[in-house]
Amino acid sequence: MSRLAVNPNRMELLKLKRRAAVAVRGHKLLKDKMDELLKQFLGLVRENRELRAEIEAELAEAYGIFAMARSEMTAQEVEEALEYPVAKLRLTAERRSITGVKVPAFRLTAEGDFDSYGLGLTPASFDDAMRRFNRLVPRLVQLAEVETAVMVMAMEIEKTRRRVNALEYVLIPSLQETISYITMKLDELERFYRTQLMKIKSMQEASSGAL
Amino acid sequence: MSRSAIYEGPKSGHGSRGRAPAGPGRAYGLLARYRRYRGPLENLKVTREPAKYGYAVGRIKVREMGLLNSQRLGRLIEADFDEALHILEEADYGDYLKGSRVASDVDAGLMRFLQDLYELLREITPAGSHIAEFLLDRYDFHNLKVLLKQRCCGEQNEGPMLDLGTLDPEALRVALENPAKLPQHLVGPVLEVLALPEITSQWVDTVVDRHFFEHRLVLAREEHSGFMEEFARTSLDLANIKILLRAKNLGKDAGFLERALAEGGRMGKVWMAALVTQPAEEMLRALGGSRYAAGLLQFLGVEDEQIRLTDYDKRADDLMMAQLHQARRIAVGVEPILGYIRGRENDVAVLRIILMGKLHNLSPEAIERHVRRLYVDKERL
Repeated sequence: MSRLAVNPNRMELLKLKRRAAVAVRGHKLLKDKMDELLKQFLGLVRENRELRAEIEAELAEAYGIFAMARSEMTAQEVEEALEYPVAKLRLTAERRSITGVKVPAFRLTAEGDFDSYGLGLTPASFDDAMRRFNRLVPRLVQLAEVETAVMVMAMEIEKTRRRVNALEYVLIPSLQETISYITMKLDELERFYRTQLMKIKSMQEASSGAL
Repeated sequence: MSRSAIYEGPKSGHGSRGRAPAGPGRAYGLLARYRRYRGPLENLKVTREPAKYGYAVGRIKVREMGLLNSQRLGRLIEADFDEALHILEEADYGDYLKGSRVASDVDAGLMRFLQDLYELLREITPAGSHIAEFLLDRYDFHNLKVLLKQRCCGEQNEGPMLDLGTLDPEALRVALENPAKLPQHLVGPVLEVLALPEITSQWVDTVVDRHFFEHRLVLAREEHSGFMEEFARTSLDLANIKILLRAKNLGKDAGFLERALAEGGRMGKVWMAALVTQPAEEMLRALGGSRYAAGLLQFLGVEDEQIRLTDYDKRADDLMMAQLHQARRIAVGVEPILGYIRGRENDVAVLRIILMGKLHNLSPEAIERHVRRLYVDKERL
């Protein structure tokens, strides 16, 4: 582990000790944050998996019904029937916070009926397919919200993990190494001065005895 | 009968006749002039001058061999998409569908087939006959819906027009700018749509579809064919029932139905519109007294206050095909022509269902549930 390039003096030692204490505290906080993020993330992933499986099954069913209904008409007749829908959807995106991470919160408001076509010449199964699609729209928005939250959380976890690792494996060890290096250096200096003093003292005593 | 840019009325062997405006009053007037339908066999030969259809019937009888049969249908259902195309090469449809890979190819191929079929129809229709108009004017009404919707939404593009009807789509677009230039039977729906307080896509469809069914009944009466009239009235009744049942499921009110239900059917429009306020079971019970109870309505059920309509279209089409199948018992007249063209259209619908089903990876069983009764299929009748 690389040692920091600092002068080995008491001032630096004090500074480094302070920095190390902050780093350790920060590391602990970030680790706690990451644990909490992971907990929330796993919950969201589970929710996302269940929601996606449900929606995919429902979509497959709705598309199956629509495919059969669509095959009873020409492409132009289908297009004519669905060309000008009456239903209007308004999607607003807000933000909510999950353990300090800002994730989007979508709000969907719908107005108007989904049936914008004539009932006499379109197949009756059209209604079933359209009703299913109509019911699926809010759930798709919910899925989009959860999936975006999962993505944002994953990025945040990755970022936090990098910080934790940087603290745990780079900064804190190098601070500790530098601290121990300075401590050692200072101890050595102290021992040197002590020895020097002792030598001077013994030399003084020797010269005064000789006089 | 050649296709005109703007409708000029049917060409008659006895000189051109003018046409009074289509409408319920006229329909009931005509109704009084012709025999009422009393059963499938009684009205089989009421076409005036059946001999004039001799040439046309001769032409189509040869072609009937190319219609789908139950044996080929079974093979098609069991086959995968490529095999199905291979099987179709044995029938008249192969050339049109060769090389199809996606849904739009299938649609385009079947559309080309219909264009050729209707070309044949125009070619063989004798002067003074309404059969071509009877069979093709649904495309005119379709184009009218497209144009009205575009006009109401302020758009001016090509749109999903179908160039299969009796009127040229572009000429219809031009004529719509000045409703006086429109054919008589299209003036009514245009004026009614433009007079609506709020013009929505659904109202355009609803009004135009109603006029379409009523106009077809008028055409059948003008053709002096009890069989055609019976066909037109049954399809009108089945459409009215479908509208009523769907309106109930969608929570529409009686006001909607009064505009949506077509006049001239066997069941009173006002009576039907009033049924929508009743609970679903009551409604089905009331409709159960009609002639459509046995083949159609008895199969419908109620689930969570919603009428289950999954099989409605198939059963309704099968009912129409069973009725149409009687046309094969008539040697000469307009009826075999009607039967043949509808039989071909039914084949096209069946092929579209099968091929689209294959493209969407639906199981043979699921496809078979939607496949309609064939025109030449005696076993399933």
